[in-house]
Amino acid sequence: MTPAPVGLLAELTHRCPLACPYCSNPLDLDPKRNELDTAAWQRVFAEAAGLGVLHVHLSGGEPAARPDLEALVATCAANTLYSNLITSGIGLSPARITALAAAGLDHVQLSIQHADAAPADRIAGYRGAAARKAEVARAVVAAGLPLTVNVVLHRANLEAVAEIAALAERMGARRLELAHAQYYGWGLANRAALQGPRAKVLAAVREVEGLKARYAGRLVIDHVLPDYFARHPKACMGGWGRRSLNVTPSGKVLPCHGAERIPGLDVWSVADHALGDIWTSSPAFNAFRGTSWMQEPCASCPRREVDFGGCRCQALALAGDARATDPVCVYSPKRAEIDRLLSQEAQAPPPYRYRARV
Amino acid sequence: MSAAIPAAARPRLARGVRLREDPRRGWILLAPETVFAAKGSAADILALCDGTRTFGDLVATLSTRFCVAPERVAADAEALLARLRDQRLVDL
Repeated sequence: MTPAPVGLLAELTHRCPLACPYCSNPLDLDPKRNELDTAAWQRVFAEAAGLGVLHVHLSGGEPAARPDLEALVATCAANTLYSNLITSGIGLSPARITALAAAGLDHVQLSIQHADAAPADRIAGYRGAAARKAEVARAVVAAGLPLTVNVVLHRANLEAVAEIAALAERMGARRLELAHAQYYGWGLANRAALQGPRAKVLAAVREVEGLKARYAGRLVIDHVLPDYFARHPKACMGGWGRRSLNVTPSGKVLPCHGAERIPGLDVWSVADHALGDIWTSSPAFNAFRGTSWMQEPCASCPRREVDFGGCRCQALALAGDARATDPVCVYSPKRAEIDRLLSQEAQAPPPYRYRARV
Repeated sequence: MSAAIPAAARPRLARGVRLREDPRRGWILLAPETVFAAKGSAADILALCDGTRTFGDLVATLSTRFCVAPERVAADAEALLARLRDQRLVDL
């Protein structure tokens, strides 16, 4: 029997005022007219609770672009789902934050781009973003909501990790998530601009590990390592179809953000199927579940139930085959491709290809 | 880090941390981006972390309820709450 999922990522919309070049949304963004309506999302959340989901991550795009965000939070609370708002902060007035807290919101994860306003706004492609985010952090803390600050680390902010941690603490965050950029969607399109020089990436990794110890007990720092530098791949999503569901703005249910890019994957929609049927029976969820789909070297590898072969989207993007071993793995015959990418350190980074606006 | 918890401290689950009984998983502690199984005495200890009761009272209550030496309850509760405090999930 398929175990129950723990988390559901609800991409309420792909609309976003920011245009971050590492955005995890797909290159083909869903337009507003295709978005699920309030009642459809409410049904999805009720079905998720019945299926055993514990955490709902209200994300986007920018979820605050949805005027029904408060109602959706209330639906999560009514179904005893833990609601986590993943936001850029843009569009959240203090009054709205108070209303979200009253509706039962459990946690806010606010993205920042840099410790200094000028580079932060340049990365976000939005003038004034950093100042607005500081106001949002104040309102979140004033409303009594727990705050996590989330930062994607890349070439333009790798050397500012200490200042970023100090800013997160000043903002009143209890947690700081420092995640090195991963190259999917817009991030892959911007890899040459985002990838830092090897020595600086490794120095940042060491520095963050030091910050974890320095801030212990005050600010919990979660560090997502740069996976191109790893010996073994990450257990992407904790294994395909093992822990999480991702619902796109138009209602397609994916095992991960990037799965729509995998050719031939038969993705079901909440418009046609109950969420529980999708979890157990949709061809997309069963395509890479468990270990029986694996090729060598994964199929006989003692780590096959540790990392589940790594990331299918990365295998497709870099090895040309979604069934291949994630090329990050030292046992992958395509590992040389990762090393080639790492050796291509742009002397002067190319300009960002900013995420499109819909 | 992980210093002893004073008897007068009033432990409280931080906002955004919820103890709940799940039909599939038993008692769990839900927190930002994570979930812990509240096994054994953990759920009983956490259920008393309401910000009004003192740590000393918590130990005495559970010691009486389960007929266990207070030293043992205190050791278990201190280990659990110190770990959660360090993760900013329990305020003292």
